[in-house]
Amino acid sequence: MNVMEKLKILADAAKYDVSCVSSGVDRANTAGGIGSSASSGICHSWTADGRCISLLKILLTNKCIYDCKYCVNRCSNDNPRASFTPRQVAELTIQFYRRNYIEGLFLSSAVEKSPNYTMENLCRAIFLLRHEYKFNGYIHVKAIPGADRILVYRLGLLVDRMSVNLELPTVLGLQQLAPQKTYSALLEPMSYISNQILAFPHQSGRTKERSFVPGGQSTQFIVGATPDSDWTLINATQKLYDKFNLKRVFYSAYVPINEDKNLPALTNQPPLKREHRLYQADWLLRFYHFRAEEILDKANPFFDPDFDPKITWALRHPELFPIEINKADYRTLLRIPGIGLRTAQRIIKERRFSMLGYHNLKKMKAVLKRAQYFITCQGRYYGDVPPEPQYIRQALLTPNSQMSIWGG
Amino acid sequence: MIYIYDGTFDGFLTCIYQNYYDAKATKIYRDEAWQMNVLEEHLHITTDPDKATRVYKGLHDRLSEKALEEVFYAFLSNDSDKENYLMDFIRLAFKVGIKIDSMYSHAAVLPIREIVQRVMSEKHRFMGILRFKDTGSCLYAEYAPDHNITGLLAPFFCERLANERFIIHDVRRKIAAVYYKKWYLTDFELSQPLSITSAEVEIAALWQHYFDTAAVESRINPRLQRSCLPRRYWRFLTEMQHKSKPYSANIVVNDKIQISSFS
Repeated sequence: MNVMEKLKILADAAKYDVSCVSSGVDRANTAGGIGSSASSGICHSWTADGRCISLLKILLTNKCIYDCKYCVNRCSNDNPRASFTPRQVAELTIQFYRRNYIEGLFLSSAVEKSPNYTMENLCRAIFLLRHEYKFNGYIHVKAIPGADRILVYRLGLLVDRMSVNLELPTVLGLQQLAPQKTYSALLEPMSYISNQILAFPHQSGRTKERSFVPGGQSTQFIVGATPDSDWTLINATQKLYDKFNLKRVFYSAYVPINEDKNLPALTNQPPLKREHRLYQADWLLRFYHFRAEEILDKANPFFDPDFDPKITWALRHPELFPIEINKADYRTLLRIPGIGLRTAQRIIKERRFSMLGYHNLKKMKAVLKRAQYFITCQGRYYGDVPPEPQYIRQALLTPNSQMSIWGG
Repeated sequence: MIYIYDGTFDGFLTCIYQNYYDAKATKIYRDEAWQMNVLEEHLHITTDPDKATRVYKGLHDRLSEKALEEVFYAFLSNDSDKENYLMDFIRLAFKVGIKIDSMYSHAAVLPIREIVQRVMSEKHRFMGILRFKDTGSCLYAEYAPDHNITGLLAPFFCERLANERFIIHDVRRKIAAVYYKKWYLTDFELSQPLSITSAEVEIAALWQHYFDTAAVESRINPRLQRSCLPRRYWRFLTEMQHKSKPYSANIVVNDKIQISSFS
């Protein structure tokens, strides 16, 4: 089998992993080496589904001993199987990299023979790339649950990010869809990686030094393969951030590829809207100092399809609004719908010199369509309806209805 | 008084100098962008490196690194009115000093911040979507950016591809950054098309293949793709060659490596 055929099989098998992030590591090139890493992350292309390509995302092999119901590579599927050699992976990465097609490599693998066997092969490929090819670009590797700690440790010193995919947020879901996996076996490497990251000295600024998984670890949940609620997912996410210091949790709207009595029908469309709302909520957790229990609770276990989670929260807490933008502190500003991180920072900076009015906010690119109902500028409220949830809800759903009074 | 200059950064700084020591400038234009106006007097400014250096030093002493960078980035943009926005910005900067960093919605600051944002985001975009082709003797990339970002991109690729030789060719402005151990910016046009190796064709095909495979069929969303990666960039992208009229005036496929003029 030539490289082209292998690439086709092993890229196709890897594409359901959504993580394609190359950010969080600022590394300079070494003498005689190739590659660097930009902390902002760099997207290199966008595929027909609108998702960015940053890393060359491939499996080392798709030969698998497991039979997870949702997975395209499960051993009961009659797919063509292939494996790259470590040299092929390294060569492909370097050739793509020097043409600036990619920012680095995301190497994952099905479990061939045993977790240790698979993990050793991953180590070999990455070792070759880092040491023989002197590659300093970004590398993301999947840690294989059940592999020996020493392998995780060795690999962690070479890569920028490691991830273990939980895929399902509950023990019950895992039992049904991935009967050969157990929760404790998945969490074990996660907690080990997180402890190792903490044990290494924190690096800041641009450096050539390697530390243990400097880009942090991430995981992924499938959305919509089981009846789990958004509340379950967002709560699990919060726990992962708290307990394991995860950098990112990804959500992958389930694309039906296999038939099974425990899975949604093949005709189902992936729940993209739900995935979108989950990401919005995830941003609230990571950057806006929200807690999972503020966003959803047992009584409201699903997101409102009409409103983003921040507005939903704001409408549930009318007692806090409107907020005076000249007085509120940074964290309070972040809670206002229509005001993001950048706008909040601009407000804080600029109001040192003068009181801010509504026109300033317009220039600062606040989304006034939403923010107008939740703020006052120098005591004045600018919304076109009274600042009460039922009116705001109506106004947000039908933005131009108030014009009709004047026949416009 | 309308000032006309030659389009260089030094020329622009000379205008700023003249504006303080001579008649105050109402507008500044590049010579090619200027149209004769009978109502207002105009003055052709000859670029004077000494005067330019004095203005630059003045800015350097009074402003933060960031604001100085903003002046330069804004100058590299293709905005037709950039000189006049910059003049307002610099006048204010000389007055308030580093405080200008905390201003945002001020009428003299906002346009500059927006222009700089556009230049920076295009620079960042091309850090990702510039495509090199292996000609055998060097890597060659051609592109047509909106703003004059070749000089900003070069240091990034020099570090990343330190052991390579490469040319980043801006076909719109007919300039290129050329790198072999050191880099410089030069006027550049190819007198004959470059040849690429058969290995290059193979790798490009692998990439094309990978690119097509990576999309999830049930999520296809061409509108999202176009908003992330606007159509105007497609003709230079290896993976989009079959979807858009490729820009290939400068490339021919050849098994034998012919050019060696670059060394």
